[in-house]
Amino acid sequence: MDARSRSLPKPQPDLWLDTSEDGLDVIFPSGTSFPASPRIGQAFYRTDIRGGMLFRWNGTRWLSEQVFQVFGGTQAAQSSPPAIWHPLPPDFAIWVERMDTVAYVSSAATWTIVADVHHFDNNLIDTLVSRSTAGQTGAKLYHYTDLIGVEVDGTGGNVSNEPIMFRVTITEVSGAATFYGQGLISYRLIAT
Amino acid sequence: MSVLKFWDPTTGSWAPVLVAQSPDASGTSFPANPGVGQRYFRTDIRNGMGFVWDGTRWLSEQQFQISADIPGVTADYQPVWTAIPTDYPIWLEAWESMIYLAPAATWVLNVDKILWDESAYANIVNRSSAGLTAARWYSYRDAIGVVCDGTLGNSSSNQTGIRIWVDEQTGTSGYYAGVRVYYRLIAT
Repeated sequence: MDARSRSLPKPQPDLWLDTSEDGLDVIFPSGTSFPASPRIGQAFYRTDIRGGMLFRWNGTRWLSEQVFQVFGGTQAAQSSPPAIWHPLPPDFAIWVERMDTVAYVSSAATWTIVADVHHFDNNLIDTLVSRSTAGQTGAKLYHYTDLIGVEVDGTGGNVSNEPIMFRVTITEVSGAATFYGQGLISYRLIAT
Repeated sequence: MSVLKFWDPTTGSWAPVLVAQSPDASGTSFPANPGVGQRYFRTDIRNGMGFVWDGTRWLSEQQFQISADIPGVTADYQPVWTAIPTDYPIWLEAWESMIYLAPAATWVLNVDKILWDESAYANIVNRSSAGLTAARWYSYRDAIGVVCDGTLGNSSSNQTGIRIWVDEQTGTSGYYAGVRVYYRLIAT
């Protein structure tokens, strides 16, 4: 026993670090399965997912804290460019949160930028969001944010009727103009 | 949060002397008087997002990207208009560029902030190819440190954007480049 310990004046300490004020751990809890009965905003680090990934309970789902991005756009298109195909994660379903869009049309015309999920084998299209330039003033810059809030599951593999992918399509609907634009889709992984 | 308390014999109770914020603190408004590097998870922002106080701003822990690829052009490249958030201003943190010139020539790769109605194009960062050896790859990463606010909507004089383009200044050459601009959300 050292001198300081021997000099303690009484068994009850004078100082106490109380970590129970909100019941939170200082270090993120971790493991290979989520805890039962989480509270909204609760964090859990899954050591078994993609080399380790932090998730939060949003009241309904465990969503990755990391946001992923998908870009689709065109530069000075005079007519509808080919659709852009994007891969979906095959290991986890995703929560598609939003699409941020920029659109510039050189003169009066109507273009659309559409993000959808394409079910390849049966050619089904689930439109996630569609943004039109109808009603815009020509030769001006416009920004938009469209919330999506849709779960998309690309984990079905490559067997018949299962392959799905993101598709971003930019279409000249009417008029003749030059279009500059980009759609930026944000999503998170869903883990269970 | 954690609270360091001392025993106050005059009141016969524990009294706080120091409040320490947990790195997992969360809620719908930031704590007052944060310390540099303090973390806070906002449950009300975009399904929940972590932020860190950098001494001046609450910046999202998540780093987002603006992306443009310039594929083998031989003259000035039309600007790439990039989508930026409309719900939060952004802190442009850094950019990375990769440049390839065919023969010797001088090109300037530009990232501009646009105030559309004012016809103002403020260059944020640029990278010249002057002095580079032809037919080689060059890669760079440069800090930026600029706020861009796309939250003001599409009404007159408020249309803010970011464009990426390349300007051929001298010589004749094929030019290839890839650009990534990294940013974080700013919340209050």
